[in-house]
Amino acid sequence: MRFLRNLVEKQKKLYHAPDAKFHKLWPLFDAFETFLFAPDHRTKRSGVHVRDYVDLKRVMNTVILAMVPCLLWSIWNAGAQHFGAIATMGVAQADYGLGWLQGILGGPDLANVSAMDNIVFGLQKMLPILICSYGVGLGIEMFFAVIRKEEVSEGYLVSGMLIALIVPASIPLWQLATGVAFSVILGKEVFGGTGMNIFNPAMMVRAFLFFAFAAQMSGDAVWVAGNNDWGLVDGYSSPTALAAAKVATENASQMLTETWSRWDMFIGNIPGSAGETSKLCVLLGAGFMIVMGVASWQVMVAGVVGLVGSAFLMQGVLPADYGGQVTMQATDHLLVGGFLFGLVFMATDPVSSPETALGKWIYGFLIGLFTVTVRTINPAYPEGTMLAILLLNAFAPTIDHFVVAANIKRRLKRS
Amino acid sequence: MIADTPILETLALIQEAETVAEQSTFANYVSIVLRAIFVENILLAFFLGMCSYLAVSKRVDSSVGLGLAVVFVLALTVPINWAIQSYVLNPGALAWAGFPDSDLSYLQFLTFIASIATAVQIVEMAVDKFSPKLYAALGIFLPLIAVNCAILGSSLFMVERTYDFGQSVVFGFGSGIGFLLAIVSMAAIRWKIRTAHVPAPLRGLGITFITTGLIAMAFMTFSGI
Repeated sequence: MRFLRNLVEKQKKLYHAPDAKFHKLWPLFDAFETFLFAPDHRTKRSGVHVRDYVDLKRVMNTVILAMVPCLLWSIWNAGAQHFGAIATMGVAQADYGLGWLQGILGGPDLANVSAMDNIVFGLQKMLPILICSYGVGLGIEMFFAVIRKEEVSEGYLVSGMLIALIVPASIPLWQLATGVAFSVILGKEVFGGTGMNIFNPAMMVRAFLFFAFAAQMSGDAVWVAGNNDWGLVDGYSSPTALAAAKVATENASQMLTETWSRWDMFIGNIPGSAGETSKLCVLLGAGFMIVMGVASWQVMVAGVVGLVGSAFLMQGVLPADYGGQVTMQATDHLLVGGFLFGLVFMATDPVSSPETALGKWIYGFLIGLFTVTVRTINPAYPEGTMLAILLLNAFAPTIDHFVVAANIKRRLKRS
Repeated sequence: MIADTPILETLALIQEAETVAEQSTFANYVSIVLRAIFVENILLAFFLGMCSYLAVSKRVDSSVGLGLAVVFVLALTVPINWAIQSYVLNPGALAWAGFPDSDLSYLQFLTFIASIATAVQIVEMAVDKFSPKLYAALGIFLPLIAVNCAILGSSLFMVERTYDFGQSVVFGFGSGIGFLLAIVSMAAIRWKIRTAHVPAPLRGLGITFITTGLIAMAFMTFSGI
C-alpha cells in the first residue's frame, strides 16, 4: 500500500500544478487517485454546511454494494437459462461450440452440467457487457470532465452496473455501446453531468435500445443467451412471464404457475433481462439501501401500493372477458417482470425523482399505476416499468413544483 | 338465421350486440384520448404549436394558463369544426338546405380559422375578466392561439381521420390535455435546469429541444394502443 501511495504521489507532481506537464489530464488523475485512496480534502469548517463522511462517493458505493446480489444472480441465471434451453433442445455434445471463456476454462459436459459451468457461461456473457458499459460510459464522462476541467464524478459507476443488469444478456455489444453513448451524452452531459440529468441515464439507455433495436430488446427470442458464433441457443424462443401472461385468456396466474412456480419467480429462475429476474436479490438490495439511508423508502412503498392497488382497480374496471395480464392475481404483478428492480434501483434515483416528501409518494404511486396500465391495456408492450419510470421522470419537476406551491399557500394561510 | 330464431332470442341477440357496441365505443373513446395525449401528442409527435410551447414554457404558472386555454379552445373548436365540416363543407353536406350537389370543401381552411379565432376571442375575454394576472403573463400568446398550428392541426386531423361527433369531442379534449401535460412538464424541467451547467452553445433553445426529444421518448408509453 505504501508503495502504491508513493507511486501516486510521484505521479501527482506531473498533473497537479497548473503549469505541470499533464495538467490538462488532472481530472483523470484525480478520479484515479480518489478511486484508490480516500480524498484528503474535506469541506472547510466554516459556513453552515452539514459535514459528514457520507459524500457522493459513499452513497454510490452503497448502491453498488446493494446491486451485487442482483449481479451475482444475473451471472448464475444467464448460465442456468442457457443450459436449460440446451437441455430442452437436446443439443449433442459434438455440436456445442465453446465461447471465449469456456475455451480458456474448459467447456461443459452437456449430459452433466455443473454449477461451475453455469457460472463460467454467465461470466462469459456478463463480463463483456459490464466492460462495454463502463468503458464507453466512463470514457465519455472523462472526456467531458477534461474538457470542462471538472472532477470526474462517481455517478456513472452506479449507472454502468444498472445498464448491464437491465439489458438482455444476449445484447450485441455495439448496440449497447451506441445506447450508452446516446444516454451519457444527450441524457446527462448536455444537462451538466451528474446531478443535473432529468432522466435516469440507465433507463434512457434501455429506452433508446428498446425503440432503436426492438428486435434485440423485446420479443420472445432474446431472453436466453447463447454463444453467438455458433447460434445454438440465440433465438431460442422463451417468452418472459409477462409476455406469456399477455396472451392468457382467463386465468393468467394459473397459466404462469403451470410453467414456473411462484418460488421460481421469487428466486428469479425465469427468463428476463440480465439482473432483474430475482426478486429476492432486489429485496436484499432494497433492505440494504433503506438501512443505509441512501434510497427513499417512500418511493418504494408508494410504488408497491400503486402497483397492487391499480391491478385490483383494473380488474374491477375492465370487462370480464378482457383477457391478458388483467387476469393475473394483483399481487403476482410484483413477482413477474422488472417492476421491483426498476422501483428499487431506478425510481429511487435521487436526481431524477422528486425532492419533496409528498412528491415522492405521488411519484411512486403513479409509477405503479402507469406500469399496470401499460401491462393490462397496451397490447404492444408486455412490460411497462421502463416507460412508466421515464414518464414520471419527465414529470418529477412538475410534481415538485405543485407540492411546493401548495406548501407555500398553506403556510401563508397559517400566518 | 334470425328468421328461424324465436323472437325472445332475437331480442337478446340485439341487446347483446348493443352492449358490445356500447363497450367498444367506450373503449374506442379511451383509446382515442390516450393516443391523443401520449402517442400522437400534438407537440411531441407532430411538433405542431412549437412557437408558443417554446416561448411560454419558461415558468410553470404561465404554462399552466396557456395549456388550459389550449385545452378549452381545442375542446370547443374541434367539435364546432366537425359540425361545419359535416353540415356545410363536405360534398353534398348542404343537402338539408336544398343544395344536394354542393361542394364547399375548398373553404375548409378559411372557415376553420374563423371559428378558431372566434373561440379564442371568447377565451381571451374570459381570461381578461377572471384572471388579469394570467392575462398579463400570457401576453401576446393568448391571441396567437388563434393561429397556433396545434389548434388548426387538430381540426384537420379530425377531418382526415373521419371521426364522428363524439370522437371529435374526446379527440379535441385529449389533444389539449396532451399539449397541457407537455408544456407543463417542459416548464418545470426548464425551471429546474436553469442553474445546470449546460454547455454554452446549447443554453436556451438548444437544451430545450433536446429535452423535448427526451420527453417525447418518455411519452411513447402507450404506443401500440
